[in-house]
Amino acid sequence: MYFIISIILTLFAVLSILFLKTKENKKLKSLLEEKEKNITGLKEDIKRELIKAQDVHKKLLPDSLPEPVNFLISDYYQPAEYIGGDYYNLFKIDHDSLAPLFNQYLFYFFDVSGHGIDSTLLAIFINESIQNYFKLKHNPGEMVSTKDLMSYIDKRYQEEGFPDDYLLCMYIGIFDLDKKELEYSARGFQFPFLKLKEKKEIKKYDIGGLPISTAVGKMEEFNTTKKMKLEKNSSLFFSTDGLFESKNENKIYYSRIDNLLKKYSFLPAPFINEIIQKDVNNFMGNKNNRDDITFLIMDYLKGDCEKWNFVKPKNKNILNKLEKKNSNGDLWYLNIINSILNKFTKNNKKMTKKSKLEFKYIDNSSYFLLVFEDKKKKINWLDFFNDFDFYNEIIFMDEISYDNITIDFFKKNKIYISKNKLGNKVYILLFKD
Amino acid sequence: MEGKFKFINDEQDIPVMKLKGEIVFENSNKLKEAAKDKLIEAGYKNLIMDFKEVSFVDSSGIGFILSLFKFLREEKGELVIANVNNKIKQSFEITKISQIIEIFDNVNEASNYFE
Repeated sequence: MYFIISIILTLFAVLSILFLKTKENKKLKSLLEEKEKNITGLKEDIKRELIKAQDVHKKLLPDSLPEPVNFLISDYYQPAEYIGGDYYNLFKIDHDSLAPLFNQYLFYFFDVSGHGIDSTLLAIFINESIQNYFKLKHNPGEMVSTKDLMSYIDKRYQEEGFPDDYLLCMYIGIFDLDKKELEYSARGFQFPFLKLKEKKEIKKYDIGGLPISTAVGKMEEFNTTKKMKLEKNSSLFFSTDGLFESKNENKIYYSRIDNLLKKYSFLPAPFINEIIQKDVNNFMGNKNNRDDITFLIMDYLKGDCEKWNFVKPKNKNILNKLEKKNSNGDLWYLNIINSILNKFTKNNKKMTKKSKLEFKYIDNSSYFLLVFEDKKKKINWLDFFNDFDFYNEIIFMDEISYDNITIDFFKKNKIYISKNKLGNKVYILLFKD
Repeated sequence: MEGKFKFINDEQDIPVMKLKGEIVFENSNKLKEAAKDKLIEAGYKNLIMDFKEVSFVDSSGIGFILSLFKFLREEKGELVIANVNNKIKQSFEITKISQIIEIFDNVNEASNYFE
C-alpha cells in the first residue's frame, strides 16, 4: 500500500513539475517571441533611419555641376547599402569684382572610411570646412593653393580629435581654364586618376599619400601640390576607391577600366558614364557594392562648342546662327532643336530668362551633341521625347541592357539620349560618318 | 569575408600577428578590436604583422593597420610589417604607409629589427 502511495505521490510530483515546466516554457516562449518582435521592430527603425540618412546624404551632394562651355562633366554616386562617406563638388571660385580676371574651378572629392551615419556626419564636417576656408581664409583675387586647403582641412580634422577609426582620403584640384592647367593635392587614395589623351593613350596620376587621420596626426610633409596641363580632346576620369575596389571572385574592377575607357573613347562623358554603370553592375553580378561608388568624367572638348540660354525673342537668332554654321547640309539636327523648342514653348508659354532652358551645342569631327538643361527641373525628358516623331530611331541609354552594348551599337542615323541623375538635363548624340 | 589572425611568439619573443585572408571593410573593425584586446591582455608593446597569407587590403584595411600603429606608438612600442605580396606592397607605397611603418621581406628580418 505504502509502495502504491509513494508511486502515486512521485507521479503527482513529476506531473506537477512537468506542468510547471510547460507553463514556464510557454511563458519563456512568449517572452522570447515578444523580444524577437522588439528586435525586428528596432531593426526596421534602424533601417528607416538609415534610409532617411541616405536621403540627407544624397541631398547634400550637388544636384548639378557647373560646366564650362568647352567641357562635358558627368558624375555618378551610388552609396554602399544605405549610406556612405563619399562626397564631391565642383564650383567656380568666387573672385567677386575681380571675377573677369579669373577662370578657376575648384573640384574636390573625398571618402571617409565606414558606411554609417558617422561617416556621413564626418563628410558634412569636411564639406563645411571647405566652405569655411573660402569664407574665412580666401579673399577675392587671391590665388587658392590646393596644398594650403588640404593643410587647413588636416589641421581642423586633427583639432576636432576624431577617433582614429576614421580615415579621410581626399582629392582637391583647381582647374585654371585661362592657364589650361590643373593643380591638385591628394591624400590617401590607392588608385590614381586617369587621363585619356587624344582618345588613345591612358596616363595615370598618383593621388596616394597617407590618408588624413588622427592615427597618424597632422602630416604637413604629405600635403604637396602637383600640376598637369589640360589638353583639348582629352578626358579625365576621377574616382574614389569604391569603384576600383569592387570585387568579383579574385578580380577588382580597376583591371577593366583602361580598356573600357579606350574602347568607348569616341563617346562623350555622359554616355561613357552610363556604360561604366552597366559594366560595373554586370561585373558585380548579384552582389551589392561594399563601398560607395563615386566617379566623375570630364571631357575637355575639341571642336565647335557654344552655350546659350533660350529666350523667346532670341531663339530665332540662335537657330539662324546654327544654320549658318552648318551650311553643308547637316541641318537635320535643327529639326530636333526646333521640335524641342516648340514643345518647350507650349509648356512654358512665355519663354523668358525665368524659364531657363540652357542649350549647349558641340560639333566635332565625329559627332554633334545637343545638350538641353531645364534649370527649373520641370521637364521629364523621357516623357518629353515619347511622343516625338523623328525620322531617326531614338535610343535612351538607360533603357539599353548591358548585353546590347558594343562599339557597333553606336551608328549614324540613330539618336542616342542620355540624361543626368536628376533627369532635367538631356544629351542628344548624333554621329557623323 | 575571411580575415583572421593568431598571435605567436618568435624566437626573440617578439609577438607575431599572423593574418589570413582579406583585410577589408567587412572584417577590419572586428579584427582591430580583437587585436587591441589581445595586445592589452598580453601587454605587448611591439608587434610584427605577418602578411604572408593576406591576399588583399582595401582602404578600411589600411585604417586597421594605422589604428594599431597609433595604439602601439602610444604604448611607446612599434609596429612593423613582414611578408607582403607585391600588390599590397604597391598599395603601401602609394598610400605612403611604408614611410611611417617599416616593411620587411620576412618575419626573421622583422624580428632582427627589434634586437
